[in-house]
Amino acid sequence: MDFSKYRDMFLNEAAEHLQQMVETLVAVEKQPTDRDGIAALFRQAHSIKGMAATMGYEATARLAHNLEDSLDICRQQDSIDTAQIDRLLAGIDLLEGLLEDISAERPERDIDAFISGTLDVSILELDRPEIIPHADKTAPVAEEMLIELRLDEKAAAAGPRLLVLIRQLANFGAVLKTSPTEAQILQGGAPRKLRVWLQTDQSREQLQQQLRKYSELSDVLFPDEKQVSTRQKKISQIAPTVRVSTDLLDHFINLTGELITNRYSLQTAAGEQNWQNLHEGLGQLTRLVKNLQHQVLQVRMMPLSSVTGRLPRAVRDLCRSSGKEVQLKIDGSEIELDRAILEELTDPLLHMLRNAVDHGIEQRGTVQIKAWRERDQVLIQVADDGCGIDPEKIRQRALERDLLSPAQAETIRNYDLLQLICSPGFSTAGEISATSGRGVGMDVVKTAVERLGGVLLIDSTLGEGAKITMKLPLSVAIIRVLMLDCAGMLLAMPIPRVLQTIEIPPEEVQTSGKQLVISHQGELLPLLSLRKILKRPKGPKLKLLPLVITEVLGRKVGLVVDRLVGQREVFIQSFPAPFDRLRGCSGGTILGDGRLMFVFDLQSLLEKRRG
Amino acid sequence: MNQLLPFKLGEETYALELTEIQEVVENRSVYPLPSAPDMVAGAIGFHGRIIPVVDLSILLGFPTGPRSERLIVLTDDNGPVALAVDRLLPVLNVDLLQGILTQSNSEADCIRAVLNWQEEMISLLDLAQLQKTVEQLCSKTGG
Amino acid sequence: MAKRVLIVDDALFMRTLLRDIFTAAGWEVVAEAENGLQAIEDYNRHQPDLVTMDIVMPELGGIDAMQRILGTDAEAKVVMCSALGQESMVMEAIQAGAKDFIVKPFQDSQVLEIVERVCGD
Repeated sequence: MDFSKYRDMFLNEAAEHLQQMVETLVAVEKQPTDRDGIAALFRQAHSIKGMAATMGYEATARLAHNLEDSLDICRQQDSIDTAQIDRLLAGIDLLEGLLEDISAERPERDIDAFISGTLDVSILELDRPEIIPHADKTAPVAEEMLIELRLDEKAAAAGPRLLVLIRQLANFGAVLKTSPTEAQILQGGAPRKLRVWLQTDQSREQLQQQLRKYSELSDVLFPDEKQVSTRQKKISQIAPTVRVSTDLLDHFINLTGELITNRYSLQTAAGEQNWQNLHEGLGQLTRLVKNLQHQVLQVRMMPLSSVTGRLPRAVRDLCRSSGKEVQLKIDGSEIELDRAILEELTDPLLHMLRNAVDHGIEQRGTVQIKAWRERDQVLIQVADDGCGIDPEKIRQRALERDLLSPAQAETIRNYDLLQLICSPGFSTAGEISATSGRGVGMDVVKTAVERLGGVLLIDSTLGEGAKITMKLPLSVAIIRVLMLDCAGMLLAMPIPRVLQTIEIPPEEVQTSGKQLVISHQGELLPLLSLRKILKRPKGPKLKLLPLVITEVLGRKVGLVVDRLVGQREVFIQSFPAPFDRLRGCSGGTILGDGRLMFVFDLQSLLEKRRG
Repeated sequence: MNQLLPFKLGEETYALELTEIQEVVENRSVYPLPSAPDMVAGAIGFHGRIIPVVDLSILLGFPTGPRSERLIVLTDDNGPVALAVDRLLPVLNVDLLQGILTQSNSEADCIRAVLNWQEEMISLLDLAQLQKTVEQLCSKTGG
Repeated sequence: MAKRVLIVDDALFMRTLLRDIFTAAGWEVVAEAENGLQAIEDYNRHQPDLVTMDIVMPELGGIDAMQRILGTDAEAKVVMCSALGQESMVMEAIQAGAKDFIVKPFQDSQVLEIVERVCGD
């Protein structure tokens, strides 16, 4: 059984249930007697319990069960109150933590404090700190154990018996895998022997003791299996997955079909040396590849709702902690953006929302999130009908912080003044509420938006609220690059340009006339030095020469660099005009640690050198 | 009254109006571009954006010496670009109408006016001119 | 304190047989139900420690009845009673939450072993 596959399915599905539960809970709070809502919550907790139990995630199952119990009480009362919602939300947070544990292949964290009610759930932080310390600090380390169970010849109904035994074992730990699998048993193929891979903190003796109660068992064995210890590695990290509509898949299949047809016509045309048909075939190929590229980009698009879905919960928590009454309205959550952009928007949206509730709205009001498209841009606006941003306070603050000189402070337009709240250090956490204080985290928001190639605009009228708008590109130029070092510069080369990377001992370098060459896979490749091309001084002698095999003007060459650093996906920003006209390098990316890395184009660098 | 940020290029004193400046940043790593004309010192990360840095001394043909740790980032309608200069001087409050000595029309030197301030000649940088020069240099190396 | 059991079976014969086995072993039989609906009612009224549940019954079958009982008391301990040849139904029941099962015809000792370990500590 491919355990990791089931685990990933479980994690994805459980996470979806949890997200829906949060949404439903927040909705139900406004209509505490919404029977359908409560029933839906109950069913979802129930599903999670069932799935987790099937997978042998004991704590997750137990917690889901506990939530299910609470929801059942609500169901019977036909109503749900705020305290119950608080507790359920805290439980869902904890379940999310458990899913993280499962995903990271850690033991599940401790849930006893929550279940026994000693965990204080009345204060919820928006940032969702880890409420419960990780179990692995205190709990004994669970080890993986292989158990072989043999059924007595006389035992009736082997299939059901094996199922009961698997469930019994799940009480002692996590059942990682069984042979035969449950599915096989359910299909009726039940032998009299069952192997169970169990992650447990119990000893063999303890398990034997427990299993002795089953007179249907003739033997309980603990075979040594070397594989057991290494098996763990095979369970790969959960890969991020996307859902693709079947329509889109059908498109892909059709396109593939057309490409295959196209390949045959090209082959035939080439065989017949029919230039007319070859030409037409290539034209068709161009169209097909363009179409394919478009469709692939489509797969990356996701609706804004995938990030705004969490916001009602956030507003609810903010209201609970601040005692304010805030209504959240979301318009345009169906607008689609590249998933990479959406991922980067999660935190900025939360910051903006928090600012609106904490500093914009005084006692009660509305926060409206609106998204719409304008040509190839998406605009997302967070607007509140609160007190607005006081330009005078910003002026004062900017003066205190030396962001403006006294003379500037006099002449600056109000609109420009407002943008200052995004300056780093404009406001610090300690004095959030004391003064204007809207700037908490706004520099983070601005940086995130700009890194995506977007713009952040702030608008406010005193007494009428504030509007903060993000203008974002629909999709960003995300490319996979090879990173390399040359003369102290970190440079990137788009992966499609890279045929291969190798490292060769300097002895393998030969000369052919004036040109240095190497013999690579039966071909003589000229060597080019990137340092030389970039007019940098010669580097130190290396024991192994790192080479990038690439093509220049249709010819394979070996490019000598100082060091091959690795591959990664990056957002590429073009330089602002007129610097985007520089040949050989027209853009770069800001890495997570703040370093800049530039993308270079070898061919135009060489052309430039010659020209 | 106008506010000016004066700075040194070699022995000369130049200045920009504060309204032309977005921010003065300090201690930024300037990352050299793999391929660019000499006047482009490199680029910096500035609020999530990549902003090229132009070395004014090289651009205007002054001898190269040590550069200030601080960079002047111009407003977006003047760039966006960061300028590296030799040394920054304290901000001045000047009445430009009173202080202007000569209007300059020369295309090459990127100076729009020269100001006599307490016996010192201060050249006001002509950003439109500057932009044009940079543009030409970028396109030229573009071939 | 004696453990309390609810016996659910549509056959009087089976109920009597089970009652005798449980009583002899010191259990208290809180009620006998002859279909699923009655079982749910009896369960809610008596909250027994254990239910023995026949699978095929009129009105409401054993698996449905068990699921409803589990719906209100997720901790309910239900042991299915099945005849030979009902394996797939028993497996369905186990997946739905039955703790264990007894295959008819059964011996006293078997029944008691199973119910004791289900209620075990």
